[in-house]
Amino acid sequence: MGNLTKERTNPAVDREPVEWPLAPTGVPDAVTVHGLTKRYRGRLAVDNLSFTVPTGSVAGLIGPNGAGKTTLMAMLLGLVRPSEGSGDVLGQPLHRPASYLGQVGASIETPAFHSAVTGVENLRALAVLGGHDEAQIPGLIDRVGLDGRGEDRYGSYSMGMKQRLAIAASLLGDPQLVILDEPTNGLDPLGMQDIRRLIGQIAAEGRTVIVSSHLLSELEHVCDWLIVIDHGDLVYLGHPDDLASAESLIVRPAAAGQLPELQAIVEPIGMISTVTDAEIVVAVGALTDPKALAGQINRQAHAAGINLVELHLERADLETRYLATLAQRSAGAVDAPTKGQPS
Amino acid sequence: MITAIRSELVLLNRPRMWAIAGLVTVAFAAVATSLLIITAPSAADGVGLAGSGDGMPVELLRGPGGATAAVSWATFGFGFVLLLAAFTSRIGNEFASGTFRTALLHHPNRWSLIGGKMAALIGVTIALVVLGFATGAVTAALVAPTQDIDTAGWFGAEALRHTGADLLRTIGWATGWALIATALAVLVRSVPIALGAGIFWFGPIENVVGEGQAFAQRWFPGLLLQQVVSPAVGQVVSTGVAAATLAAYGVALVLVIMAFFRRLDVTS
Repeated sequence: MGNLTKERTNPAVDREPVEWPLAPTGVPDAVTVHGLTKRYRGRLAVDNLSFTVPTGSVAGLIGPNGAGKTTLMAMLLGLVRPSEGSGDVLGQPLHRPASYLGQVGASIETPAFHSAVTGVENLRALAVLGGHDEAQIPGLIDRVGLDGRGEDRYGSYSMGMKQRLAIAASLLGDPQLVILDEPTNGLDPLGMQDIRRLIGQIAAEGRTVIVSSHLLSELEHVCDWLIVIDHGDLVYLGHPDDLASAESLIVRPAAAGQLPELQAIVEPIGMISTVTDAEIVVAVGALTDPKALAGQINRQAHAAGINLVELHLERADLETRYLATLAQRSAGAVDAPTKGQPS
Repeated sequence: MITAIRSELVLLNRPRMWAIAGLVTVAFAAVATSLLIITAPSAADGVGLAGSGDGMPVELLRGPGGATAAVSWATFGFGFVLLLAAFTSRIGNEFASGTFRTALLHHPNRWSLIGGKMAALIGVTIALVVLGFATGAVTAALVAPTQDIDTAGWFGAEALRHTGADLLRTIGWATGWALIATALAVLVRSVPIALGAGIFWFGPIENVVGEGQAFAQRWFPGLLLQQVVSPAVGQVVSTGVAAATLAAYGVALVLVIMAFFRRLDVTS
């Protein structure tokens, strides 16, 4: 029950909502939640989350496994009842999902359809259920790249095809808000690229998209808004560019054989993002002076007899910045959610 | 609820489904009717009408309800297992496989959704019951003469009324089992556990414990259903009392499902 007594210090609740010029002035946010909390028999899955998703944005929901991403999405979709908190989705109260779900398309957790029925029949059943126009089904099948396979039984679909059908189902009824939970799971790189392009197209049509993924490089290309959560807490809310530092430190020893030794030196002083067969990529946290960090690594490597042939800063990818944020958080450097500001 | 019924029918109304379910129904009705008529003992041989364990008395085959007596006897005797299996697996699988979650995203009214699914399934069940009765009647008309059973009373208005009453009782009985199976599936949300618990309770527990026990005959839902639809079998309470008790059970069950379902977190 320790989690239940956790002190509520999440200042996201108290802070002013982030303003980001994604939607025209006066357009309300697509999603606004305050103090959203979910407990499962004493286990805290989502802890006092408050955030906004601007209308028209593509919001990436990031967090490690078990961070509470799916639970958060399930609460927005009325599948899971919040233990505490309130909010609005498309201007309608969160506790009345029936009032807004007609304008929301979603795919949550793994795709789930009737296996003995064709993809088209599954979509037909959902269209009838939601009162949507069945005439849009052939177009949706084509759009998600299932043309030619729509009349096959869903049970014969590959994981990638199932994901595509789930996205097609989420677009039934021309929704204003699309929520996609790990839509690239099980897809090959080409499939991921297709889905990424599709998400971009969906957003370009003026819809708001909330998408969760473990593949941060996927989100980096499509998202203009980030919600980072960890252990049910909000860690970051804002523009991807403002997540932690935008830089990585590349450290390359003269001899690849010295990498393990160099790694042992770097680990205590910097957050290692990636180790390749030739170099180490160090995530530079927002509170870290990159030049000081580079100097420290250089001195310690020199003292250990390791010659560095490369030591430079470059723009970090989203994954590096995300890891740096989590590392700072676990190290106590960031004990409160950070919010990005327009750059 | 209408959209939920129509949606479920989109999924159910497939040639493959009708072919398999129809074939099973026809085979069950034909074989059961033939076997029951061929092996039917006579009251003159010392078998009473309540002797369900001794086969169907041949006296039931004589008179206006004789054409469908065998198929309704077989349905009431064994059909509950099929209904439990069909409804718990269909509804339970919706939870286990996540299709219920997918459906809720398009139709957030949970009660309407589950009610519509159940209504559509009951509709299909009724269609299959009608097919089974028709098959049973045709089979009986073919087999009865070979057993020297008089079929003169099987035709005419009285016979039709009798068959209609049998059919209505069977539909009520099927609806009762559908409700029980749906409740099990919703509350347990696991097909094997729901089915296992259902068969265990309504099979050996009710029938072994209920054997000769007035309490069981008065209160156990499976036995009450049997008494309502098959009054010829040994009656401890009147049909009216049994029907009233079942109605009370039904209302309680619906309320429990509604309350449970409304608060249920759909996480699978």
